Amino acid sequence: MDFSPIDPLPSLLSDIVMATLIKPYLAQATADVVRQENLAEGGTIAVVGLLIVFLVLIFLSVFIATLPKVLDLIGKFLPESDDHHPIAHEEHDEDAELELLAAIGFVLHTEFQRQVSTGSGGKS
Amino acid sequence: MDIFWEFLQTTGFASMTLGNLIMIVIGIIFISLAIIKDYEPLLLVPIGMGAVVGNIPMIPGMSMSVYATESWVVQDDGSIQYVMGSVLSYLYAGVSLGIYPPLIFLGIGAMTDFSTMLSNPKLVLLGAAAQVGVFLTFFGAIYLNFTFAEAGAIGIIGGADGPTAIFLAAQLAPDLLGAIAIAAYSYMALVPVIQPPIMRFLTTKEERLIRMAPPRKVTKRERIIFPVAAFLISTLIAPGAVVLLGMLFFGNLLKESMVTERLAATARTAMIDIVTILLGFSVGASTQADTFLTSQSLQIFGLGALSFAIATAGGVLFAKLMNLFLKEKINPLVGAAGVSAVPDSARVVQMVGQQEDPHNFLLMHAMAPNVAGVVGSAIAAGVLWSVLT
Repeated sequence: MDFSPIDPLPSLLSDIVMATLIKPYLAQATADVVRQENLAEGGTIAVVGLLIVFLVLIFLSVFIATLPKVLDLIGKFLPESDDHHPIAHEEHDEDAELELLAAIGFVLHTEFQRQVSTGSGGKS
Repeated sequence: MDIFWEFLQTTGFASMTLGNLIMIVIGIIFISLAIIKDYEPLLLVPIGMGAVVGNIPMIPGMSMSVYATESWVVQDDGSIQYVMGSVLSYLYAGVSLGIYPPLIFLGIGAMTDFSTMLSNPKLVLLGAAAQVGVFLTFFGAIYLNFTFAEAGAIGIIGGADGPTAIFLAAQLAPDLLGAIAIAAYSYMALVPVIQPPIMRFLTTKEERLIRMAPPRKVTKRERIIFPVAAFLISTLIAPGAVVLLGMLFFGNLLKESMVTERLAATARTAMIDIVTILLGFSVGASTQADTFLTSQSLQIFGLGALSFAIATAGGVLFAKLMNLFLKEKINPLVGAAGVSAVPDSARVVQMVGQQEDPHNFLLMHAMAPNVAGVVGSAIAAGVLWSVLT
């Protein structure tokens, strides 16, 4: 049988073709596939993440909406007593005082505006 | 003469780089904005001064930067020597280990009044809608070839919540922490500049004139039950948010229970102030030019601005969507407050609303989506943390 030695020229040629054309193409194709996969996975995480945030806040919203009704029901058996903590009383007093001050301020403001608009405001 | 020459070589002037100089100028601009324009002074002054301190060139061989952490060094003779970290590195550990943000959340909880949210529960949804900015920016960052973890840390800038952004960045992308923190706080300071044009563009004059019914009075029982129940609901669905929401609702319980007034007062005054100083200063000091002035930082700033804009638009558009189904219409401007940034975005809503009708008071209504936004951004951070680690 005649075994001829392998011709080095085609081997070199195939190496050059592989290095210059096929490898960069394969690398680019692989990068494109990875990128597409990343974008798809990122999109899924984004959508699911937003849905979870909505889900939690919808639950919270429903809970907040039903809480007064549940407390009304409980209130029939366990009425909300006047608080025994002094701070609570202070806060209630403070609230009332603030409301009173706001009302006085509003009346004064309205009166001054009326005087300014009618030109009847004297020097004060 | 030689000694004098050697001394000159150790001065900051000798080893100052252009990057250091730029960062020092940026730090001074932050301080100026805070003092002259009153933009988030409690944050920008510590961050600005930190940036100035962190960009003074270090003397070789002396551990002074925030990145000079403690280490064990193997000597030539085989012995192992412990090398202490710099003072700044220990302060910065509160940032890198994620300790400061939950403490700030404790203080925020102790100063937050959830009453407006409890009186109008449908406004809670606006706090969720604004989180669209977080997740769209996350997707955008992946498109720009950031890794998933980095994209998650960048996306949370849209949550408009500095501590949340720092917490998530410390867990997912510590290398980007400085840029993300600066971006988050800068955009929070720029809320009055960024939001109004978007709000006006997406709403009609008639919509901006909508008046909303005054909020109902909330009982003490509701206010006490809410933090415990809200914590359970939120974290049983999204356990990743347990640290931030746990501290937030714990702080709120201290306030509302009325039996721990001293603790609540400490949490919302002295403690939050101390932590804000340490956090702001050490984050500022971490913005050393060689790690901060990169093309990645510019991309993060661009994505952060986009995130804020999308979040604002998301809230406004969702309010308009809700109006299609509601009898009592919502002023869509309040949707913009869903981005968190408490209470600046609510103030912006009030300002834009009053430009159309000076007698329309939207502040109270805007506080509902505003605090819902804090909860929403913490949940978004928890979701991203649990998915991406």
